[in-house]
This record gives sequence, C-alpha cells and structure tokens, in this order.
Amino acid sequence: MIGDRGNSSSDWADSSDDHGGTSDDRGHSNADRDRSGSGREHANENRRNAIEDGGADVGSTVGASIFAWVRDRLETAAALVVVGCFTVAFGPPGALAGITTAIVWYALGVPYALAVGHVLLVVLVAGDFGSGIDVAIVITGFVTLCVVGVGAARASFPEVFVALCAVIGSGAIAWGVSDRSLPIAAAVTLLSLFGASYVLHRYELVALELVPDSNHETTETTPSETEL
Amino acid sequence: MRPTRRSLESGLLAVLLAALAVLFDQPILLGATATIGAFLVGRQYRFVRAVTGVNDTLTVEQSPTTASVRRDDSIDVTIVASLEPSPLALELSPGLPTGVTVADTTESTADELEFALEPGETRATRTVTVTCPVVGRQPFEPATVTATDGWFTESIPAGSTPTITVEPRGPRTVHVGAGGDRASVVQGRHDSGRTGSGLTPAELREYVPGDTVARIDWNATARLSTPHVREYESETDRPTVLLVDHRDPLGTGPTDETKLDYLRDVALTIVRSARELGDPLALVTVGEEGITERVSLSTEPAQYRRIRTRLFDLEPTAGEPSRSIGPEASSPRSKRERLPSASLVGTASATLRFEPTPASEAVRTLDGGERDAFGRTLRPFYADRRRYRERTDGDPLAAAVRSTLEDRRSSPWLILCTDDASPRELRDAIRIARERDRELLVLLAPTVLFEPGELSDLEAAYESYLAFEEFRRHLDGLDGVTALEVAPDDRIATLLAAGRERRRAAVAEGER
Repeated sequence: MIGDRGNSSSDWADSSDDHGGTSDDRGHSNADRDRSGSGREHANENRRNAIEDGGADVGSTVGASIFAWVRDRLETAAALVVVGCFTVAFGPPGALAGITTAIVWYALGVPYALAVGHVLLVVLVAGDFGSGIDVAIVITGFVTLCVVGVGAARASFPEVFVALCAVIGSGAIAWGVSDRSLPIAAAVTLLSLFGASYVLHRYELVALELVPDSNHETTETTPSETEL
Repeated sequence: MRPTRRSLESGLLAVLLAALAVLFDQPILLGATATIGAFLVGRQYRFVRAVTGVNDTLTVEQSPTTASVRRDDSIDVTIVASLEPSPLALELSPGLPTGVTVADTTESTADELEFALEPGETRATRTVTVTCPVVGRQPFEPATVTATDGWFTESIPAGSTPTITVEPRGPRTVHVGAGGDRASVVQGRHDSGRTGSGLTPAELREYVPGDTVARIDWNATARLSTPHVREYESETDRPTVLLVDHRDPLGTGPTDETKLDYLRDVALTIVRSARELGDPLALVTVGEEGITERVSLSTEPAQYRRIRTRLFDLEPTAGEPSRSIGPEASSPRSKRERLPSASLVGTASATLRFEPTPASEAVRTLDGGERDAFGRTLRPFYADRRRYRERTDGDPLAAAVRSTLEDRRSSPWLILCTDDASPRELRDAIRIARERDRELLVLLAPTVLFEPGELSDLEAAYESYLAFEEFRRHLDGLDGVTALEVAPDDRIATLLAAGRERRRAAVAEGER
C-alpha cells in the first residue's frame, strides 16, 4: 500500500504533504491538491515541462531520474525504518507499534506519527519490553523520519542540516535539563523552539523587505514639514 | 509569515506532549516535543528559502490597454506573472485602483479576481475588464502574491504600478464652423463705426459751428492756429441674447455628448467672452412648452455666474424620461428604445447606472400616493424646477424669439443655439428676428452627427450631412443671419473624409 502511494508522489510539492492532514485556511494547500489525481498529474506535467524547458538543472538523464525516484520515496523508506527500529528493539510488540506509527504517518503526516510513536514507545518501555539502548534505536528511527520529512522532496543540504541541528539541540536541551527538573526541561525546549521559529520569521521579513524602514519614512516626511 | 491551521495543530500537539511529559513524568514524551518542534522549524526554514527564491525571480506586470479612458468606459487590464519553477503554490491578486470596478458582475469581489500558479508553473496570465466610474488619476497598487507550502503562508507585494487617467465625459473637441471649416464665435473688440466720447483718440478735425466749446482741443488749437476738436472712438458694448433650445431632440447623442452638451460648451464660451469684454448678456432657455428661464441683460458679475449655472443645469425637457442610457445613445426619433431613467437602469451588457430623475416625473411621483414628511419637503424643489416661466401655444422657439425681441429697446445680438430637427420652426424663428432687423447667429447641431449608429453607414450619413449643409447655407445666406454648425470634431472629420473619398471615386469613374 505504501509502495503504491509512493509512485505518485513525484510532484514539486513536498511528498510529506501527501499524508492528508488538515488543509490550511485558504483551502488550497498542497495536501488538498495532492489528494486529487488531476492536480497531481497537472503538477507532474508542469514539472516535466519545466525540465524540458531547461528550467530544472536535474536534466533528463537516467541517473537523475533514478535519483529523483529514490528521493521521492525517502519518506516512505523513513517510515519503514521506524517500523524496523521498533521491531529490532522490542520484537513483535514493537513491530505492532511500528506498523501503527506508519499507519498514522500515512493518514495524518509526520508530526502525528512522531507523537503516536513516542506514546507507544512510552507504553513499551513502561511494559518492560526493552532497555535504554532499545529506546535509543527507536528514537533514531524517529529522527530519521523527522529529518527526511523536512527535506524529502528537495533533499537539499541546508534544510536537512537545520532539521538535524534542531532535533539534536532541542533533544540535548531536554535531556540535559530533565536530570534536574522535567518541567524546566519542557519549558526550555518549548522556548528554544519558539525562539528559533521567531528568528526565522524575522529573518524572512528582512529578506523580503517587508519591514518598514523608519529612517526612510523620516527622510520622506522631512521635506514636506520643511515646506510647511 | 503566517502559520496555516495544519502547522498550528502540529505546534499545539508538541505543546500537549510536553505537558503530558511533565504530567506523567515521562521524559520520552519530551523527545516527541523536540522532534515535532524540530520538524516545524525545518519546514519553516525551507519555506523561508522557497519564498525568498520566489521573491527574487517573480515578475508581475499589470498592463491596462490604455493609459487614458473616459468615465464609465471599460478597459482590459492584463496581469502577467512569471517566475522560475518553485515548490510553492502562489495566488496572485491584482492591485486594481480603488476607483475602478470590475465590469464582469460575476466577479464582484476582489477575492474572486485571484488566480493561481501551481507549484512548478512558470507563467500565468489573467485579463480583467474594469470600468472607471471615478474621474481622476487612478494608480494601481502592487499585486499581492500569496505563497504557501501547506504549512506556512506569506503575502508579498509585487509588480508594476501603472496609472490610468480617467477623464470626464462631455464634449472633447468641439467643432464650430461652416461646411467643415472652422469659424470663431468668440467676440473680440467691437467696431461701433461711430465717434464720440471715449478714451481712445480717433481723429483731429477743425471746429465747426455746433460743436460745444468743451470739445475744443486747446493744445491742438494753439499748435494749428485754428480751433480744432479731437474726436474719440466711441465706447460701446454689444448686448447679446443667448437663446438656448433644450427641447427633447437636443438630448440626442451618447451620454454627456449630446447636442445640448456641445451647444452648452459653445454657449459657455460665449458667456466667458462676454464677461471678459463687459458685454451685457441675457439668457433665454426654451423648452417643449415655452420659456423655461429668462435672465435679463446685465453686466453684473453675478449675472454671468447665474447664466453659467443655468447653462450647466440645462437638461432636455422631454415629457418622456431620460435622454440616454449608458454609452449607447438614445434618439428622439425612437423614443420607444429608451429606458425609464428613474432610479437604477441597466442593460444586459452594461452595469447598473444611476440616472437623474426628471423633475416632472419626480413631481408626479411625489404628488401620487401617500405623502410623507420627506416627500412634502422635497416636492417644492422639484416643482420649482419644473415650472415654465412662460407657456406658449404652438411653436415654442418662434414664440420665445418673438417674446425676447419685443421687450428690447436696444438691438441685441441674438445667438440661437438649436438643432436641425425642426427646420420649419427654425425658419419661422429666424423670420421673426429678421422682421425686427436683428442680427442673428444660429448655432446648429446636425442630427446626423449625433444619432447613434448613424456613422456606421458613411454613405448615408454623408448624404444626410449634405442635406444639413444645404439647409445651413440657406440660413446663412439670409440677410443678417450667420449660421454655423456645432459638432464633434472627430465625427465631422470622419464624415468629410468619407465625402472626399466619394468625390475622388466619382472623378476616377468619370475619367474611365
């Protein structure tokens, strides 16, 4: 089932949007478009046209096609990695948890899969099915899913790097602070993530020149005041 | 940057898991918060990179078909967006000026004007037809491009901001002349042909018995040894009576470009000239049933203002409502084609427009039915506008000329602004003026140049114009009468060009 799904996810939109989930406010998110076959075909056609026009540097070689095919299925592979990690770490109960996580990923997307996977991991650990190393194996699978989910379709280095840094950084903060107090660890983790998000938001405003320049406004108003 | 509902839900999920981690003392759940948060931050970074790329490569051109239009005209605005292939879905909303409205009534809101570029698309074009009901310069706003990847959205302004100039309707270039040749109706200095008291010296002559002593120029007398009298150019003015016909046929023509509008333009020029020269000016307006307004001869500044105001207020006094609807014109010969002018009127292809309610119809409406306080307050204003100063039996134009000239002890210059719809009545009016030895200037608006669709058949139109020109020449040949045509310059040029072409073809045919 998952393999079939992967065959049709080679559009320009991120394949991680293909899992359904909630559409955005405007009603035309990538997820909405991807659910419709015509929209997907249209996007594929556009991409093909762009490549034929020389708009893409991937080219039309066989190697590039294979690369694109593999790249588009990375997220599916990452979900399978999660299933494998669960199975290796916890045996048959872990396999069940892994398959459940994969189903949630397919239906609702990466964030929900990560949430459900962690809850199942807690259940397995609480049921005394595994040890600390088993938890680390499963978390490695989650990190893989997260990183691939961010940059699956484009697989560009900076995006993967940022996601990896965010995971490692926030995980380290959470781990380090949780030895002292779990509430503090939770607060620090959330604040770190909010801070990173806000910095990106401000960076975008500056990059797009959407921040009004106060000096410029002053310069414009000065002559008129002088004239008056 | 704004998060979509999807990313907000994911963020709330991360916060919820952090709370559960604290509640159940499970640090592993905090790992879920960290990974989900990292996922969102990674997506956000990716969106920032993509939208920055879009901003760098996106070009939007907003191009109106013309930079200058007339009020209520429609123009097409073409919006062309192009960019490098992008993973983002874009929605583009044109930055139409606030003073224009979208002509297509099915697209009444700005949201419906948006058009999309799917991910990977590199070019999109949209043409919007807009009407310009507000006169003035209408600058475009930058187009608004909304980019989204399903997790975040951002709106960025982009595109050119051209300006369209909306000009008011009304006569654009007024032709006043004879047979297509231009002539001037504006008065200059008047030659009275007499000498008398004044300021400008005219001649020096010898004293003759009968001259008063006060008129002797003593300097000239001393210099020439014999008594001399200096004559001065006699100061004079030219009393002018402006008689404007505003009966139903004068309403022929496109909206704000009717015969009356063109004649009004010329009449206003005459008023300005009279004011500058200090000439006494009177105004008489003629409706269907007689004289509707009479402003007596005077040189008071307020007088000229009153006459101007009255000229601006003039409307055809048809018993039937409304002279024209929309860009297409009405015709006095086809009243059945007219639509009621009261309130909102419209056609299948035109937007709804408000036309002023004729005073007579308004009074009828206010008289009928239950009269509330508002109606009682309003009625006197309309009733006052409807009133005729003098009602006449028979031909109102001839009666107005007779009435106007009977009261004058002086010899005013009569300027008659009318059309060629009723040649017999016009001849009668001119005859009455000539019987009283008055100079007369007749400004005629040829119906052929105002009828809607008349110029579609240039041959027939030219024939009609020749008939008009023959009539005008007949009037112009009468003693003391000058007859000029008043028409749109472009239309008469078109017609005369067709006439020249026809003559050329006839000559070529004859040579063969």
